[in-house]
Amino acid sequence: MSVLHRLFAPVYAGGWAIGRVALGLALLALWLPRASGIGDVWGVEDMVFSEWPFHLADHWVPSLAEAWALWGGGLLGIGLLLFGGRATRPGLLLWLACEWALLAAEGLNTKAYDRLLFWVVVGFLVSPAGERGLLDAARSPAARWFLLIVYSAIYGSTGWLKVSEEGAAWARGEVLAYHLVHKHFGLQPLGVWVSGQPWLTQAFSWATLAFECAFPLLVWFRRANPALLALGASMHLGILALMNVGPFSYVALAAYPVLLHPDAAARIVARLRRRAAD
Amino acid sequence: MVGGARTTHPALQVPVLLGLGLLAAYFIACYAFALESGRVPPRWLPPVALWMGNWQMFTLLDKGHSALAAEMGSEAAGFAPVDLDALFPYRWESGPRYARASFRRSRVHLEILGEATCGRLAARGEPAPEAVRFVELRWKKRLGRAKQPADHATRKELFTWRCGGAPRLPAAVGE
Repeated sequence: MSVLHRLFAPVYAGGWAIGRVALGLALLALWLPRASGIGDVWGVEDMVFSEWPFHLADHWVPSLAEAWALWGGGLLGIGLLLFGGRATRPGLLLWLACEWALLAAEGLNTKAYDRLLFWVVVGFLVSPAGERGLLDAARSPAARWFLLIVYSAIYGSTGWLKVSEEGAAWARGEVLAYHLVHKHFGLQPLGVWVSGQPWLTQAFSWATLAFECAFPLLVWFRRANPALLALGASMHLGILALMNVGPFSYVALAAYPVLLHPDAAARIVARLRRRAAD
Repeated sequence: MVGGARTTHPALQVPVLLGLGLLAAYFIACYAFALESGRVPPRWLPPVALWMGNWQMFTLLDKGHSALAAEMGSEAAGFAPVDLDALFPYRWESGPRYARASFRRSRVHLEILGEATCGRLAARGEPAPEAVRFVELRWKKRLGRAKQPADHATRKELFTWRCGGAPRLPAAVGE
């Protein structure tokens, strides 16, 4: 058996089916609140900016009707993604086009999760997520590798950067403590309390550094993968409880069913089915 | 399996591996050139190419708050605070649109915000001010406290915009 044959042996693909729905719900949580910006951010001519890397406003500024059309188009795209099957890819492409048109029109506030989502959506576009019946199917592992590389990049780069640029302050728990009282990202009731508990911010900081730095190395191994993802899910749920980072946590977690090792995913789905049947 | 087992066509397997290798190399380049301080990317690599692959999130220690505040009035009659949040209500989780430090550093952005403030005040039926002044406030964060009052904030006057002027709006505005 050749190396390529072994590398590309089909693996359980149920994660894509679950991930498609999770991604659709995460996009919905991101997209619905953006409607409140139409008439204030989009569809106005007084607060329009042309800032790197977007210079769309030098060529086109959406009218109120066009802004609503873009938002509605994005919502339709999410609907198609959630419907699944052959509608999945057109839905993803439609949402992606509307999302980046609105981001480029706004010009000032493209978030880390917007860029992460771009890569996640590309991963889903090249995946079998649009097929029906994936809970009982095995497919190529290549699209999962794509997402593993993307997540290794995001966790690895942010973790290694914390160590190299601000390692001592992170080790003392100080950086996290001060971010928990940031006037926009922080000041959540539980987060405020945690910010005043140095032993907790230090423990959370060490756990974050360990997870982010180890992710690119350990996520590929079957034995380490489920425990590592459980730690990652805890980190994102912790961020959700302690900070105000918008839809970042949902967006990051949406691809976790795909990142989970296919053997582990198959075992979990089988166990859930047995329970449902009992 | 009911849904069968399929994989990448053998003719595509090597190109797929090469593509994934390029993707990994791209992210390593983004980390090396866009994130780590002190490294200069090669000239042939446009900065926007690296922007899609760098994530710096809550990395650096920041012990202070900073905010942009506005005041309306005139030099002769004095200035009174403007509630920018009420005039520009949409908020990202990072705050209002004008919250980022890069916004405060841009004279063009402050011009646009200045004229928009004058326009939105007038649209509300409030007396049009002669000018809008922007001020940067900085104050210390307090750990363990839900209230972070700016009562001892340091003030830095950034820019005063005379209402009715022509801000440098992007080219497509009003087309």
